[in-house]
Amino acid sequence: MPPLVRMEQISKRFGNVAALSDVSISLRGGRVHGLLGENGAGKSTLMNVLYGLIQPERGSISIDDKTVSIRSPLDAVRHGIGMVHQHFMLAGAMTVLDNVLIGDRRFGAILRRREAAERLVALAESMALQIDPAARCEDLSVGQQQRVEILKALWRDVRLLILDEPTTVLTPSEAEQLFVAVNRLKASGRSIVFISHRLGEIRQVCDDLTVLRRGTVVYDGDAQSLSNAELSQIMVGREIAPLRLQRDDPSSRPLVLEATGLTAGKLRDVSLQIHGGEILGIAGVDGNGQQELAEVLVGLRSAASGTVRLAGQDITHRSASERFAMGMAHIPNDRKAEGLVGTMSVAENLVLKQYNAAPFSRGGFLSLRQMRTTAQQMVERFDIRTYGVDASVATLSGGNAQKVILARELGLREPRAVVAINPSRGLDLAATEFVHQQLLNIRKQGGAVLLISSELDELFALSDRIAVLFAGRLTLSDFPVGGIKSIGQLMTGAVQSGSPA
Amino acid sequence: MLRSAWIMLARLAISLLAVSICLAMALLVLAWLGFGRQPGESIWIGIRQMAQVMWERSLLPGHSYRYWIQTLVAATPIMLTGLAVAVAFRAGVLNIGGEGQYIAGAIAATVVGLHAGHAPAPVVQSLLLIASIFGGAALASVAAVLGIWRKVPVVLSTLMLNFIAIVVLKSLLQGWLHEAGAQLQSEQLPESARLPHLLIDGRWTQLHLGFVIALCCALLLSVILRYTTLGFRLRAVGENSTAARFAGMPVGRTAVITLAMSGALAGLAGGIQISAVPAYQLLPSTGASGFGFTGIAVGLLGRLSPGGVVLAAIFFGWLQTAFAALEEQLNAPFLALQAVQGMILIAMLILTSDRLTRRRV
Repeated sequence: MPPLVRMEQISKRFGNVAALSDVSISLRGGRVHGLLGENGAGKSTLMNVLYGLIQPERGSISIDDKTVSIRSPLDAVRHGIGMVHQHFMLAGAMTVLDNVLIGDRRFGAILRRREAAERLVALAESMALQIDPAARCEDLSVGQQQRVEILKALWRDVRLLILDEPTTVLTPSEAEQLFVAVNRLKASGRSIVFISHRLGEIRQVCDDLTVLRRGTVVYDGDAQSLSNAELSQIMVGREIAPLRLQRDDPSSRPLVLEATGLTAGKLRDVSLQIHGGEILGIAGVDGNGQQELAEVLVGLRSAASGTVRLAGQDITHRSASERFAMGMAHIPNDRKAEGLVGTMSVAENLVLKQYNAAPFSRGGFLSLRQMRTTAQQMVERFDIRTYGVDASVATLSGGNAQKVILARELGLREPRAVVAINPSRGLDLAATEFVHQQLLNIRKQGGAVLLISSELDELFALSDRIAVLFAGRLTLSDFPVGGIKSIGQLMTGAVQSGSPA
Repeated sequence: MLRSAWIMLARLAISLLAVSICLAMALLVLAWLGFGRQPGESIWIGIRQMAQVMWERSLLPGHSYRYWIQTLVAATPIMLTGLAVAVAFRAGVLNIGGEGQYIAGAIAATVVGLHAGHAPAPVVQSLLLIASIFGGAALASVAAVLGIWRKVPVVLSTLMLNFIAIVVLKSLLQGWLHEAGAQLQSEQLPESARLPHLLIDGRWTQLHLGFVIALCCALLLSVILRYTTLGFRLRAVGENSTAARFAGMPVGRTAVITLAMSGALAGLAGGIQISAVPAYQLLPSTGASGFGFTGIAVGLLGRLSPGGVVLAAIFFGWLQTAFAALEEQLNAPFLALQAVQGMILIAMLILTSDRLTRRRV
């Protein structure tokens, strides 16, 4: 049987970087095809080419053995290709049905809405994607929004559905439901491309597998025939050395960061204590109060009740900049939106929190020379790859942008306490390792680290203790004695007992 | 370095091209409507006639310096309102109330000029300009307070305050500031309250101290934006207010300061215009100058940088001179000026958006 889609010798450059070089891939009908690789390996780029969002410099695409030209998503849909992106594109205030019907002329008339709704429900049922067509999209959970996106594509009779990192935003149980839906889709004869950087789920759902590394194909074949170790080595091109942490009892060291009975936004009566030289990991599915916890601790959100202490001092009513001056560091969740001013330079972003303090300014005037000198030092010390300290931060890669934040928070002075949320999100392996090393350095120097992360691997590798946030409440797990299972139960709210962290 | 030089050159070429095309189109339309030619004569004659008139006004060496003076006088108020827009927009504060703040400044300046006229001239003039600065800043601060207190969007409040300023001006002209026995107008400012003019070849010109003040404001603003902590904060808040807040910057206070600065510049334009340009008095037309709105165009055309605003204001000032001449000599409607200004702005925004500059507007 000939392949459904064949992409041949696709090449695409972004500036000086080859995102894809001579990539060829065949997608067979009725199969789930995994696309595995690190961040920046070219997975999304390749599929964006197929979906018409990116025009390659070279290469051809053929569907059913006929060469086609796909210049826009409209072309792609016409050829039966649909894509669900990492970031959803739904009109929040509109209903599920409206979102599915957008751009569909067949059901344009008001009179036929009921018929359309019935068909949508039937389609959803058959694919295990149950949804209420009358619900407003902004009221839906992330997992349900993803279903709407998939239904939108199916509504247009796609034969090939591309899912771009679909599980990143899902809870483990939502992910399981997604896998059920994927299998139903496959059983209905459709093909699926499943982009991921998680080995486990690739193995669980995929039949075929292509592994990309730096824009080239490094493996193409059966998804089950290689071991996890072999696959991860192919993916990263080297062995991953697991971090081994020497854990001891930190309670002999002084208490650095302490919160008592914090209630704010989603947070309910959260207490925690972190000693010097300790990393407290916070696990939990996004949206259970992680952002609120970080904001209350660093001074961006005021607590309705409860106190925060830093090195014994009550800082509950201190502003964010006062807390920074007292030794609080913050690595925010979204480095582009919250951590950096993209259009400003590397040097300016490095002093974003200290621009109005000596030595970077005097009498209200900036000391540009001092800013540049310090920035130069930081660029060298943190190995920030940039054209220069005057280059805008928007020109940096994700890893290097994160290094700018690390340099600002951890490098310009030695922090007492660090609050980091998902510090390695979206980074490649080398950059992730760098971030981890920096956090461990703080630990070694006697600082307190609160590491909030949705990556359990990261928490397991770095944390001395792990607590779990669920529905705004914080519970200490029995880690490192217990394993992933007990934490998983806490994350899903299956058990709620336990002591405060 | 080389790359940025190329970009500058490309931008300049594109700007010149856009401007030429817009002017050519305007002349074509005017000629088609019958201006600059006798009935029956071809459109080309009309275009040539009008181009001739504009060419005489060109500021190139060898042409009369009088046109330079006319241009700079016309450029002064819109330079200031353009700077007002630049500083506000750079901080992400969309102050489109330059018109109202200009009126507030003019009113404040008139009140001071009429009541302190007996003091020594430099004192009156300084007081009058300071009053206009505070007048404009005060009106803008109303928008800032509404924004912080009740979260009223600054775009809306500043726009609405324009209309309030116009009404206040009219009622003052009917009441408190009304010159007895005259039409709707205030008394003229006394000599001591009028800004000094420039002397060239033994003759007083229309060019006044206000132009120099406007240039100084541009310089000052440029220094503030580039070299001070306030400017740093302002830019950070404007480019990414979330990141600025996360960095511990007082975002709300920065917006208030910015609005006050912006209003002060627009108000100063009003004070200068009242005290330096005949008839040295408040008139109903003071409320319909359009300088505030032209300032938005000047600010955007100047790409929100003080230097750019100076150039854009001078260019718009020259356009005004040229179209005044067209009206005077060929009876072409002066209103065409606004259409051309709008066209040029839109053309520039289209041509230079993102592709070359990457700066958000």
